[in-house]
Amino acid sequence: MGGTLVFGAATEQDSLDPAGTFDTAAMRINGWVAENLTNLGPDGNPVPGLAESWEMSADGMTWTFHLRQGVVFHDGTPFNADAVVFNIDRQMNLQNPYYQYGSWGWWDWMYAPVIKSVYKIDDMTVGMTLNFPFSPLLAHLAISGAGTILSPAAIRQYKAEIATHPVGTGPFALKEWVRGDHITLVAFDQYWGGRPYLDQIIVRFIPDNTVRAGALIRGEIDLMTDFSTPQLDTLRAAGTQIMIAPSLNLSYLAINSEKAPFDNILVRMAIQHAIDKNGLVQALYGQLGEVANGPIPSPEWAYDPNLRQYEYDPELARQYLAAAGYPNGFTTELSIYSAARGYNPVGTELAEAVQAYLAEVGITATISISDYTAHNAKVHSGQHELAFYGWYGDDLDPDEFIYTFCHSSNATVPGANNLAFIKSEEIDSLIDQARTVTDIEARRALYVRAQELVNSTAGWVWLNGIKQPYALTARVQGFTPNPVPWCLDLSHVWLQ
Amino acid sequence: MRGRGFIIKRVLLMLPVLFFVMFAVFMTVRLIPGDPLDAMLGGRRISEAADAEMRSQLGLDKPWYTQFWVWCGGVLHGDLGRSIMSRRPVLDEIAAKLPHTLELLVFSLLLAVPIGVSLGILAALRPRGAVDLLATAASVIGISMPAFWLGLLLLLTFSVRAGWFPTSGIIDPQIDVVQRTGFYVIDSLISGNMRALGSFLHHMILPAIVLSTVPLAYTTRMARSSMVEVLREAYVTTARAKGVHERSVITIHALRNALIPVTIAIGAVTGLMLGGAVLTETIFGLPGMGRLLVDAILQRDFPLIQGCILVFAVGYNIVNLLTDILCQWIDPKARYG
Repeated sequence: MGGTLVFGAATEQDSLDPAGTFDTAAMRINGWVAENLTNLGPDGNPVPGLAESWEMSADGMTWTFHLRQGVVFHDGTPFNADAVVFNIDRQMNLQNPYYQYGSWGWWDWMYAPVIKSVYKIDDMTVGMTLNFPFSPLLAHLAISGAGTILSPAAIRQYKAEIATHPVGTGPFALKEWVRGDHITLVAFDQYWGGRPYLDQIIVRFIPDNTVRAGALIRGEIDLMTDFSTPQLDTLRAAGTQIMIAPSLNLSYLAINSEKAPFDNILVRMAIQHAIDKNGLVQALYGQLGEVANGPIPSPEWAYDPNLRQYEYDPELARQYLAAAGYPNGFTTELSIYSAARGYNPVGTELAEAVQAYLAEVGITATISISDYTAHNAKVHSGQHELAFYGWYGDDLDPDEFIYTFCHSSNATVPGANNLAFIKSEEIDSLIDQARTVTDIEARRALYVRAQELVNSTAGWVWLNGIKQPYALTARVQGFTPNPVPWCLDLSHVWLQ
Repeated sequence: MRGRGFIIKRVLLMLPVLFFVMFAVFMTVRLIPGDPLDAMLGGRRISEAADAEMRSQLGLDKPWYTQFWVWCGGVLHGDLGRSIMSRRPVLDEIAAKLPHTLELLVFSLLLAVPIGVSLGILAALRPRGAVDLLATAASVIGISMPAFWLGLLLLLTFSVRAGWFPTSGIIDPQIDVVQRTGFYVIDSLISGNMRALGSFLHHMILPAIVLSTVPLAYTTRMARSSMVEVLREAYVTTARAKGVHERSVITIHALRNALIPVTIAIGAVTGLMLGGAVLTETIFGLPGMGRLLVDAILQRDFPLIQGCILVFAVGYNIVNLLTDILCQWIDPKARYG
């Protein structure tokens, strides 16, 4: 019992207001401090959290949540329906006096299109009316974000500074945040799930992977993640505990089908056959890389390992190009972001590798590099020809990935996320249907069919996911990695 | 009278310079592709109404000249606006980080200047001798060596392998220091917390060594060449001819004049060090303004970028003014007005 666990974080978040930030670093910490109506269970699927049980109406448009009794926030105030409604209202209602203290990106992006209203039925019951039946709801509600419930008293007291003083119902309470240096959290004795074994968690910010690994080997930190193969080898050699979770992320190359010559499916298929995905992923990412086969990553239940793939065949690629009228190839531009990303730890090297494969079949690609924000501005306004992009999963529901990448409603500018700009009524209707059906097997069948169709358009080269490695010192016991990477459950961890 | 007039004139000259810097930064960040919303949302799509609402909240819906006017007005009242990323006032963000960068700069200069000046002067006394070769080598290496390379090398050798120094951070997180001024040295001395002072100094050694390489190179070089030049001056020969003791010749006459170009060089190098601070702070995980500015730029946090650059510009101008005043004090006969 007891002890302090030191977590070495790669980055420091700007804000700890869960509703206002997409930063994984923030979501991890908020996952210790605060909770949602549903939480993520150890297998990454939603389980009862602050709501003990729920019902859905027959038409799927209304949900009723029965809240857990006897739960208190870290400041001692009680958790109830008013707290839930207050938290949601400050994000959706412009007239709410606390609306102005943040930007509610989560709500605006993921929930506003779906949820019409949230209201109190009685002290311990909350109702939700939707705009359409939506089966990913329970999974999405579990994400550390818009559905996270903070103490209304704290929100009232701190206003904008709630971003540095999140007060939740979670197993750990935030004690102090010294910007640029560390964060200290202490065990919450009155946690409804039972006081955690650990007394304290300290988060230290160590950006460089090599330095962080060194710190773990020397015992200065107990736990770290978000590192790459070189550190993995060093850590293994030093005898550290290593655990590797599957990859809930996706790196891909989008082919902009609205720009010639990529409007010709033969050209797109040529590109598909030109790239040796297995060779590339092995060479660039080694043991942490996992070749992707479609828009849905492997940990999700709609993943189908048997999806038809484009074999690496440069000769066939050249034939397709010739048939399309480009026997001597053509020139184009490959757009990529400058810094390494979780799904692409080698950064711009990826572009160089693909450039070489394309050159083999006669396509001359120049590489255009911008920082991640500028890259986003470029691709979401459709200015790219071939562009690299990626995504991290926030829960295990397949809707987030396939709807974002492949639905036609995301193929309009500005704000496009369907970066291949493929608009297919058939794909749309499969995705739309899968959102409303509740039976998992039925949903899975729909998603598998949709993935087959997506791949047949040849609009995206689904490259890889990167597995999530965790390194722990020998004294850390009881830790199991969650398939969803922002969820780092420490409530059952103890120190030897 | 003349001295004070000089200072007032220089301060007044600063104002149009700062205004120009403010305008240049303001326009430059808005010309870079991508805006704060792109950074915040990371490509996630929101409704037009929500987009308009977010822009209005951040003041981004107004025309650029209105935004600039509003910001300038704020600056004159001491209000640099709010950071988009953290929602905290920009001044608070800077005030939290600036002391750490200043402490790093001061420690680096405390290493570089005494060593550099001594090395340069000794080298000038015996040109082409052993010390001179050492000084020249040190200067060349200091200027050529990339900060991030040296930093990582020192970290791997002395922190990771040998364990003599901590791998990152500015102080042991398990030590509590009552923050009064934000400067760890002052705060730990005030509260008599020697353990904190020791931990802080321990954490500062490697970063200060890394950041001192460039100023060491410059001061060594400047000290050496200006000392050589001054030693050749006619009045030194005259003083020697008058029979004044060799040591007095050096210390009183030559040193005084040689230190002027060195002081100016230190002022100029401080500007370079602000850039070096960015790299050093990133490698060693120090919570300083260099890192703050880089993060702000990547996130297009306009108010924070503008505020940081403004503070750097003001600081740089003040340092230059101080070095000019110092030069005048060292040799009042020289005209720097």
